[in-house]
Amino acid sequence: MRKKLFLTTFFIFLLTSLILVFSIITNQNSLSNVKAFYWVWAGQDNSNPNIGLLKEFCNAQAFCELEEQHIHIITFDRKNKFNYHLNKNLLESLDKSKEKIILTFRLETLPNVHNVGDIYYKYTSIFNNYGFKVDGIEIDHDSPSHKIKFYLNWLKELSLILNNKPIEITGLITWVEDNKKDTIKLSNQVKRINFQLYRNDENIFPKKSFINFIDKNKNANLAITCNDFKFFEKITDNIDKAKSLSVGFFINDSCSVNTNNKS
Amino acid sequence: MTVVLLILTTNLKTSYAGRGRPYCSVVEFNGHCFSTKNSSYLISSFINQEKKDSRYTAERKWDVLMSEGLNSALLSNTPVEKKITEEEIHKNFKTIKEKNIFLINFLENYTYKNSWCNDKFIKALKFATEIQKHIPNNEITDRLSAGRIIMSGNFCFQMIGDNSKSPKNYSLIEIYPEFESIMSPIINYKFSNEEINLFAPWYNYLFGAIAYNDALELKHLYNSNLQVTPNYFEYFQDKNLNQHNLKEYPRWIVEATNYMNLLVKFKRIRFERKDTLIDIWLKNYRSFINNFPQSEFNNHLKNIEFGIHKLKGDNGKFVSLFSNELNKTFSKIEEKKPINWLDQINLQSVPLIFSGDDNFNLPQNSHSKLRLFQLLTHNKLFIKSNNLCDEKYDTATNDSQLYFNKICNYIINNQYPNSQGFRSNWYKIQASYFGINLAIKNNKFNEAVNLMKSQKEIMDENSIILLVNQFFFQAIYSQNLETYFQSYLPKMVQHFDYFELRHLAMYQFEVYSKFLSKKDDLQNTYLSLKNFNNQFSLILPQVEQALLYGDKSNALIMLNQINLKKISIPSKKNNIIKLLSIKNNLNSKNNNSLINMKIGNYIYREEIIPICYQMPPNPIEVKMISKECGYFLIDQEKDKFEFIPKSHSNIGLVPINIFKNSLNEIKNDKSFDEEKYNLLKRMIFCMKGHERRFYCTRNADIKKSEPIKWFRELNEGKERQKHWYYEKPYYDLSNWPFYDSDSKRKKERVWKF
Repeated sequence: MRKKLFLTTFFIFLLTSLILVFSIITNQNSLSNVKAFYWVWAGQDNSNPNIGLLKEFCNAQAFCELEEQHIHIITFDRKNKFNYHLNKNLLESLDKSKEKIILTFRLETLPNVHNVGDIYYKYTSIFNNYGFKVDGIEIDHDSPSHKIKFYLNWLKELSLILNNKPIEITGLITWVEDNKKDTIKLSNQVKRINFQLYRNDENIFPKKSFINFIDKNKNANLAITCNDFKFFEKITDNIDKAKSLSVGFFINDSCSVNTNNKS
Repeated sequence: MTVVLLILTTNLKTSYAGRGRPYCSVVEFNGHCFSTKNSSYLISSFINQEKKDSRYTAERKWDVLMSEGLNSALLSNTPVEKKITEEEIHKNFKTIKEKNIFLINFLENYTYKNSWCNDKFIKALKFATEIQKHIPNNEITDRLSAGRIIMSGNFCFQMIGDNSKSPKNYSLIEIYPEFESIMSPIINYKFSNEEINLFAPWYNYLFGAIAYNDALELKHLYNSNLQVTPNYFEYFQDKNLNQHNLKEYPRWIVEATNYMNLLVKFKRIRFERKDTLIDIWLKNYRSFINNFPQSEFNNHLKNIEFGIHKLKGDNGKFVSLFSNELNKTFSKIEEKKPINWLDQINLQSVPLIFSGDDNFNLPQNSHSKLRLFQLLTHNKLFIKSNNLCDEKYDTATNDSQLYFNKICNYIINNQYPNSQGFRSNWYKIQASYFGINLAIKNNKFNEAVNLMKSQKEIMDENSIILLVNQFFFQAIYSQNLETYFQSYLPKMVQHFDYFELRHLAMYQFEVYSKFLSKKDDLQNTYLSLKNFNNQFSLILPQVEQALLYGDKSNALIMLNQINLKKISIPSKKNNIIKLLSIKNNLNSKNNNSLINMKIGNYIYREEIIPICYQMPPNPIEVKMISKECGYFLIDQEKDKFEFIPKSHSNIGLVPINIFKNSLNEIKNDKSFDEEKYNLLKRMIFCMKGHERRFYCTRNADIKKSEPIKWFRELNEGKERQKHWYYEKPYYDLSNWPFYDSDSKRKKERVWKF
């Protein structure tokens, strides 16, 4: 009898605890619409501790959903040369638990659109053979504000040859300041724009007008550098709670990581 | 469990990104940085660092070096071998498609249209031509030939009749059904042994090429008994064929299959790096070169061979082959002959190869540009231990050889490089810049100034700005600022009469005054100055701090000793107008509220914050500057130079508070109506925009009701009031001007906007 009473008390305690935990989780409304993703950038060999920390933060603290990892596979440099970054080490270092990926193309200048499409298809086949599903492409190109229209037309061509596969692009805050009209057109053309809030490894809080732009444009999202979670929270606090927001984390080797702080 | 989870969810501490320091990317000087170097001017890495250059720096140096004299092969000014034209392609295509029923059918619906695809398409045409020659008038030939052409590559074909604005080019996946319908009869068809001997190499090559070029693995779809080897390109591997004994196969398919086999194996070696694979590759490569000495593929394979030796760790062999090949490329460029894609790759590979972990001993016959590049990018230990300078050029026959000798003369005899003897201006500028830079680094300031004077005609404005900045920085580093400002800087400004250099001198005085001055050297420097503009640049930061801390009398003492009307600095025009007004009002003891408004406005608009909170411009580091808060009171009349200390917690006057007080004081005085309205407008405007808010309201908490009230006062009696001039501050008021409480606690410095 005493044993039964003990078990009943124990289960009531357990149930109460679970309800309490559940209520804590569900009370975190502030980030319920926030999704996060990260870039696996070429040449950054020491990113894993930071990526681990991000996952922990997202899963345990912020309750943000983690999206497809963005794999930087190629750079088209200013000498009009493609630099291929995929190698065995990179393939083996990828998180196999998330089979969907986005292929990121860093374009310092815009190449022939057919080259990009060709590489996209080739790499899609390669990743398929390794058990990943390529879920789209991201173009990382810092177009000057006055050339957004040109960039837009280039993206339209790309979209056509990729048979309307989802295209993401990275974006600059200055686009919104200098050429809002074309930036809106650009955001309507692509699945989303990941606006970079950083310069020289430093996250910079944007002006109110830019926050308004993010609030109003459903395809406008954000990118920050390193695991600057405080900045991340400050940003998400300032974004309209109704907005579905994605925040990309650009993690490189110069990002500090303090694993001692991991609980 | 709950407790554990609560700890997890609330106490998870995270790491934060460090705040980066802005750096100068061009030749410039501003609040964030002043340039002491620039990638257009080559400096040997051995003077600054113990390591050799990173890939990035090496690439910049190689670009600059290549931009000189060689018609810039990397910038595509050198002719590149002509590519086949679209017309030629269509001509070749016509002869193939005329007899091929499968292509005829395909081309009823599709057309080849994309010059981007030409290179791929020409390879497919080659395959089709060669198989037709080998096995003419045969259905399987036609199927394989058509299949290869259809699968040439992504986006080669458009649909006939697509009259849209942007006609669609089909990807391989989209066009694949067409390929499948042509190829499907081959599946499960039992070929005779004779047929297998004929068709197997072509069949394997076709699928191998698709898999290699386009990563499409179609093997599982085609179970044909034509696939007789596990890997597509191994068909001829053990058949021991050579150009004299081809066993009735066309030479092209034998060479191309073996070549592709070597390419595939090379890719595998890059992934796996196993010695056994490398040895097999080298064996197969050598037998290919021996068996087919005239093959069109040999050049590419020879280039791959360098890479193989490097992967194997045989650096001597690698660098010798690579250097010989580069010599050929340089010769082509110097003789203005066209270079091919392999030449381009070799040229572009230099910085990548020489910045890697391995060091290479270049053979004696290496091109002088390559040897010079090594001298510019490697560290002193390597240069000395490998005796690079033992092999100077006895008689330098070109500029790069002469520059090599001059750098070696510095390493051996401490003789600074100069512009003498060079033919091209580019080398003259580079050598004089480098020599002066070395003298500055060695604290040989007199020698540096003399070198500058003697090479005045050669040096360009940018190199002078860089060197003067380098001089300034070295003077800070060696704690020699007083002599620098009293002796060297005036000599340089006088000698090179550039507007930009005068501007730079004023900038340096201001930076010095703000961050680096000490009582004695400031006094001596100030008293030694004859130029009004320089005096003003030196005293301005101190006047501004006195205004910020509300020390009006001290500010006036300093303002009274400058004749502001004689100052002619375009960038300081606004400061001068405002300071003149403050000075006049203080001297005439005008209404105190008006004076305060002007001071508040100056602090707000000129974004004055305590110097002890500010980051110095890069490359000055925080550890090099004073931690004290306060300012120097410079009173020349009384011969008094006194430091007025302030506490770190004192952030000085807050403009919005000054404005609010002044408004209260003048609001009932009708004679100040105009000032009152202007002040209200300014206060309202203070609430709009991040930067204005930061410098105007600072740590003051302004509730939304206040600007509404100001609007009402401004638009008294009007029904419609504009209330949108209010934005929440994007910083934590209690931490102003710090980014966060941590920075505040540590007293870290901040960048101004």
